Order: sequence, then structure tokens, then C-alpha cells
Amino acid sequence: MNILRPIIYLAFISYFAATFLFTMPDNYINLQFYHQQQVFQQWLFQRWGFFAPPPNYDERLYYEFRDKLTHQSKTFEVMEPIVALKQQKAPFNWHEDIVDYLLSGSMTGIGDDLHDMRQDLIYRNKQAGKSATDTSGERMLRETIQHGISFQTLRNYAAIVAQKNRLDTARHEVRLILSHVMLPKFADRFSTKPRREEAYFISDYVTLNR
Amino acid sequence: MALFKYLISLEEKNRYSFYLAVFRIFVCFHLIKTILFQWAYLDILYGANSFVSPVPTFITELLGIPTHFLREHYQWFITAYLLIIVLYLFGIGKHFTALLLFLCYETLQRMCNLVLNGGDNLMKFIMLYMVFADSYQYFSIKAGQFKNQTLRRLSNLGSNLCVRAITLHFCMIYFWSAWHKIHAEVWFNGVATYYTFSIGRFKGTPWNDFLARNGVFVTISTYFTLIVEVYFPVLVWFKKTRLVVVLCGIALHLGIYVFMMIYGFEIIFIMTYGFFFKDEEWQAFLNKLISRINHKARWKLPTFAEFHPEPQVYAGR
Repeated sequence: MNILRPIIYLAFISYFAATFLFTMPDNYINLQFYHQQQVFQQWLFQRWGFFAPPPNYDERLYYEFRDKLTHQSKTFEVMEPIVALKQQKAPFNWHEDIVDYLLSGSMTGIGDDLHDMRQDLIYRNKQAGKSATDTSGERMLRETIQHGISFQTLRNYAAIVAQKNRLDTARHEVRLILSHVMLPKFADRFSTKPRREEAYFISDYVTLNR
Repeated sequence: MALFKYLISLEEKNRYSFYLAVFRIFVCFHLIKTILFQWAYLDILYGANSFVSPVPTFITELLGIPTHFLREHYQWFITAYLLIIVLYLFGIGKHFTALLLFLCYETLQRMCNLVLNGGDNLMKFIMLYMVFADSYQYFSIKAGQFKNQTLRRLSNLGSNLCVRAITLHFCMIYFWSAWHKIHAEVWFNGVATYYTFSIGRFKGTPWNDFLARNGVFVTISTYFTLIVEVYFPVLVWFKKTRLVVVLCGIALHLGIYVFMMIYGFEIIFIMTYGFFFKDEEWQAFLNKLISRINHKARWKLPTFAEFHPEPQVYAGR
């Protein structure tokens, strides 16, 4: 025990020091260990900023199906009905909960990636002496997102939406529109004005995968 | 010197043997419940033909098992996972089963990380720590202790440090969560619960809209959440304030459970509070409760000491 004891306590203390360091908000000290933090999070992923801040919007996901020949389009929004069912069936809403998490998680993933990439783009433009993001930058962002896992998940779900609405998947292509329906500010909580909706990602038309 | 004595005392007795066993049972039922709820959607979540785009499973890839192979044969993986849960439930295979279960749980989380929340994240760490704990003194097929003194001391130390790791990690979660919240304007200004109650995805009851429009409720509930998260990591370590702060925490999580429809997460957090109480405290509480039930219902339920005989000593070890 005399040999084991110091090893055990050293391991315990080191582990918690690392956990504390790598879970704290970004600051000068933990950014010095950025690469170690990446490795740590790969093995022991954790993030503890619950609802800080909470979202101030409801999410909407539109699938705009376009006939390849006639170019006629039909649009379906999928989040609102799922969320309404989830509310109705609570607490026995595990099906709606799963679909909600799958779609919403993917949308959040796209939103987060867009935010990070846009920040990066703004920084690089600043370094290059450009004043604002140009159209080529925005196109590059869109293409990168469209190759990501979150977008692929939502794109694959389009086939299910098409099937449900009896659309021929071979004949149609689809465009995804992700938007936020903003909640009124707390001070305007009794306001009867319609809620503002902001699209934050509009994809290109893509073929239906399955 | 006092610290050294305290550290040595951690080797003398497993102080949390009862709650470790309770939590082991809880983990098993929670994992089984999750799989049962997902049963009809397992193919969507883990199957190769799902619309969900696959993410590499880290540990199995390291072991040479490709992610697509796992997804193509996910039924076998889920069967093995359920079998390991049952073994763990009965305490068969002990630490080895706990390790296998942790690895399976971690792999399953990586196979579909979109459906996870903070509760699942905490659960992963608790299961990792429980690999080192002796949670088999109660509710297991064969409870026992090592005859070898070094192994026994090591086992007790592992159990006590496991619980200390869980409680420290838990406090750290509250601490960082509070830290992030204070930084956010809506929490600082006392209006955050207006937003959390109003978002469609988390609108758990028809009363959410009414409550979210009530300024007094919004301010009090926002600051109550902040106060619990800020003070919990400190006050829970003092005997005088522990029960109060735990009850406040339970009230907070029950509120989130009902009004925000976040179910599994809240149950995991509430169950974790039990680690802040030692065996003696659980024993005193349960005996009081059993006596009261016996008195009211005129039953003869056995008290804590009666239903837990002294553990056997492993003869050969």
C-alpha cells in the first residue's frame, strides 16, 4: 500500500486538475494548453454550460422540394408538428423526443459550425485587409456545411419527408432552409405582434439520397 | 497530519457501500429503460441504413472494429450490451463487468451522439468511476470482501475515491454551469426562465406560457436556479447545510423535469445527490422510515441492519 498510495492519489489529483482546467471557459491559461484540451475532450468529452444562455428562438426546418422537370416546388416545415406532438404527449413522448433531438441536434450542429466558421472567416478577412465577408466566402461556408455530418443527416431525412408527402424522390431535388422564430424580449412578452423569423442557412438544391 | 489520517481512514472501510449498490441498480434500470424507449427506433439511431449520418466510434476503432461493422451488426451489439447490464445488475463479474459496461455505454453514446444530453454525459463519468468501486455489498448475488489485507484496503480506497470523484465532478458541473450562467445577460438580469419556459421544445405543460409571463415567478425562478448552482458546491460539504441544499437541488430538478420535459437528465442528477450521504446516514434514515411504516401499517418490515448480514470473506483471496 505504501507504494500504491502515492500513485493512486497522484493520479486522482492529476485527473481532477486536468478536468478542471479543460472544462473551464476559454481563458489565457487553458488556451495555452489548447492541443492537450482537444485530446482530453476527444477521450472524455464534457461541456457543462447548461442553457447559458438559453436559446431565444424556436427552430424551424423547411424542406423545399422542386420538380426537376417542371421546377414546381412544394415546401414542408417539419419541426413545428414534432414539437407540438411532443408537448401533447408529454411525459409519454419518447418517439417525438428522439426525432426532435435528432433534427434539432443536427440543426444546432450546423448553427454552431456556421458561427465558428464565420468568425474564422471574419478574422482571416481582417488579416487580409478586407472589410466584410464576400460572396465567395459565404459560398465556401455553405459548401463546407453541406459536406458535414449534420447536414447529411437532415438531407437523409428529406427522403422520409418526401415519402410521407408522396413525392417521387427520383423526380425531385430538395433545398433545406433552417430558421429561427425569435421569441419576443421579456419586456415585450404581452406583445401580440407576429414573431420575427430569420433564416440562418439556405442550402443549394441537392438530390435526395434515399 | 490530520489529512494523512483522513486518507488512511479511506482504506479502512467502504463508507458508501449501500448507496453504491443502490446506484448500481439504478444505472441498470436506467440503461434498460433507455433501450426499451428506443426499441422501435434502434435502427434509426444505431443501424447502418439510418438517415442519421454515422460518427466514428472511438474506442472500438482503436480495438480494430470499424464503425460501419458495428452499425451493420448493431442488433448483436445491443444484445451483448443488455446481457452485460443484467450481469452488472446481479453483481456478476463485478469490476470487470463494470468496465465492459462502461466501454459499451461509451461506444453506444458515440454511435448516436445527437440524442444525448448533460445527464448522459454525467452518467458516462459516474460509470467510469464505478469501475473502481465495490458496489456489490448489497443487492448482488455474492457480496464479499478480500481476505488479503492489501487488496481489502485497496478495494475500500477505490470505493471511497470513486464516490469522492463523483461528488467532486458533480460539484464542478454546478460550478462551471453557474459560472457560464452568470456570464449570460439573461441569467444575470433574472429573465432566463422566461426563455426556457417559452421555447416550444421544452414547453412541458400548458401553464408554461402563463408562468413565463409572470415577472415575479420569472425573476425568482431564475435567481433560485443561479443560487442553487452557485452555492451547492460549497454548502453541500457542511453537515448543517447539506440537507437544505440537496432539497433545493431536488426541487430545481423536479421543476425542470415537469416544466421542461427533460426527464432522464433530471432523474440522474437527483439520484446522484445520494452520494453525499454515508452509509450511517442512509441507515438512520431508512430505519426511521421503516419504523414509521411498520407503526402506521402494522407491518413487520426488517430494519436496515437486519436485511444486510455481514459480508462474507473471500476464502481464497
